[in-house]
Amino acid sequence: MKFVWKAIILLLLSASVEAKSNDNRFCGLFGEVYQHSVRKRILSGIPFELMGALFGTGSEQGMLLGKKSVHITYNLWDELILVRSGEKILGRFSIDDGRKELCKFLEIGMGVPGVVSGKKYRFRLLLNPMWNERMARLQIATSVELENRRLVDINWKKIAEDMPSEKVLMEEELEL
Amino acid sequence: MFRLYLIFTSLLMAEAMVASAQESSAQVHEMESVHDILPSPYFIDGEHCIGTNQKELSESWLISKEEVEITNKIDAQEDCEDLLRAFGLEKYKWFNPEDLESASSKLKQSGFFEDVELFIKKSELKNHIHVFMRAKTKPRYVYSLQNELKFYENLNLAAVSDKSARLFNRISGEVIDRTYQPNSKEAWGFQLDTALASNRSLMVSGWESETLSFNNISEAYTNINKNYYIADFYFKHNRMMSRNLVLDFIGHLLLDNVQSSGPFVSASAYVDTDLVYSRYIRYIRGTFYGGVGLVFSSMRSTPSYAFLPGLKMGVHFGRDTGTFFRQDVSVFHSLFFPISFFQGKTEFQVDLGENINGSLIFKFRDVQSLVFPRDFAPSTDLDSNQSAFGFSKNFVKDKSRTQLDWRLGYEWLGYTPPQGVGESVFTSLGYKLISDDLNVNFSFGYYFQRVY
Repeated sequence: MKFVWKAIILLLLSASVEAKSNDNRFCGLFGEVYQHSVRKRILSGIPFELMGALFGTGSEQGMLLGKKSVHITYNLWDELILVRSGEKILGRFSIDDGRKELCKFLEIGMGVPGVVSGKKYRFRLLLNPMWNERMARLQIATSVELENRRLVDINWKKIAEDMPSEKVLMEEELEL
Repeated sequence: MFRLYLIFTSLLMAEAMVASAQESSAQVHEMESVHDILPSPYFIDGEHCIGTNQKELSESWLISKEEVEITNKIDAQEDCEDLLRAFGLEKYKWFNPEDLESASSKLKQSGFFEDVELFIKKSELKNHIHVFMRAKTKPRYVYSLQNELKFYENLNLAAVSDKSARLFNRISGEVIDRTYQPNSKEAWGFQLDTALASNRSLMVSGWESETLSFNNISEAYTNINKNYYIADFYFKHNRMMSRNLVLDFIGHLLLDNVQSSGPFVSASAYVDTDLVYSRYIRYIRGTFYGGVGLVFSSMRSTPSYAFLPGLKMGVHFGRDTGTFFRQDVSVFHSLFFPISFFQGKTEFQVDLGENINGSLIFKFRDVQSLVFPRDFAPSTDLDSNQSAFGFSKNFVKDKSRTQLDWRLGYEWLGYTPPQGVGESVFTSLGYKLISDDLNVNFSFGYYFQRVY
């Protein structure tokens, strides 16, 4: 009898681990990017934006399904990261905690309209994306660099789909 | 069994309590106003540029090694501060972190550097910082080559019973040195216009002549039909005054044989200074410019030379890619001579998808009171007004664009009497390559005899 109960408990635990595996995979991948690029960027002291963007695959290729963006400011004196989304403060933490904390704010999972379980999606982590909110906040216009890079095919639909940015820090196909 | 149930329920409750505590802490954060905990502004104690090029003096008998070192250091520092000022950052002033973010974005987007990043370091006092700009410069030179070939079956001037086919060619090249950009930029270039006519004799009011002479009514007609060249060599220097303001200096030397029959070559030289104000408003670029031009030229009617100072101004409004509407207008008026020059171009382009663009173009150009010899030759664009529509297909690669272009249009030439007015229907094919360090543009236009 004891053996049966142990087996049931193990099964329940493994199911819970399975459900969280995607989250952990994302945070694992983010951890590497954090160590290589994001941490250095934070320490530079210049505020910046990170955006997690989820795109469809197959027939929905390139379609932007959901996005989450955070604005990161680092104070050189108290050595704390301030994370905001628009006007909302999402958190304040040390540079070492940034690795696990930031991942929570950028992860896009179930609950996004059009996203179904078991399907593959393409996830991009964008550094300083060119989107309306950021451009309006900084009062910057898309200029030479963007036009030179894209050269001809600037059209609003494509911009929404491709979400041009300063750099794509991570691009992975994930199964949700 | 019951014990196990109790363990499970207590575990679940504990997890729920932790989750609720985390949630409430997040809510507390959200309730805080962003203004309560925004980082304080920074005071910039120093600015430093790494990786940019500066003009450097070298040691000579006039200046010692120590003086050279000090001067170069001061110049480099001034250039660095000028550059950062142009992007919104200034030494010994307070700035918000978002100002730094904005400057960083503008620098990145400027396209002046292959790669550029800003970073800050703490200074001695709290909230006092040093700003560093680390840049990787682009390839030093940009090369441009253009060739425009136009073939007229018959220029079909109304005032001349002329059956001469003509070939106009304009080849131009330019090398831009961007070693010191964005602080300054230099360019050397040339433009060579050549014209060939199949039949150089004319029947004008019963008077036939191949003679090329000055001060004669026949001069106009012979100039239309003769073979000629106009060469323009120029040097351009521009200096950035601020992010939106650039001072241009262009020196031209022109040579031509338009009004000469033999080896005689007439020469002109002129200097243009322009103050150019450019600004991007979202996706649209607006450029306003104005300046003074000083022309030293041989005159058409007499073999003498004259200084012709004049004023010019213009506006360029629009975008260069995708769907856009663009308007260019420029005007030149000489201060002491009755010379005016007026030209404009209106362009409407529609992005049809699949990298295909459709466009409508209207061009006009009007030169009043022809004075310079070169103004008296029907070059590729003198007094040419055009309406055209066309399509272009673009092939975009990572850092370059190739464009194939086709146009169909109608041209009417408004030459000053007695040359008359000419009309043609034309079609043209073009090839364009735009990349970071090479721009090539070739086009061929075929101008039919009047078909209507």
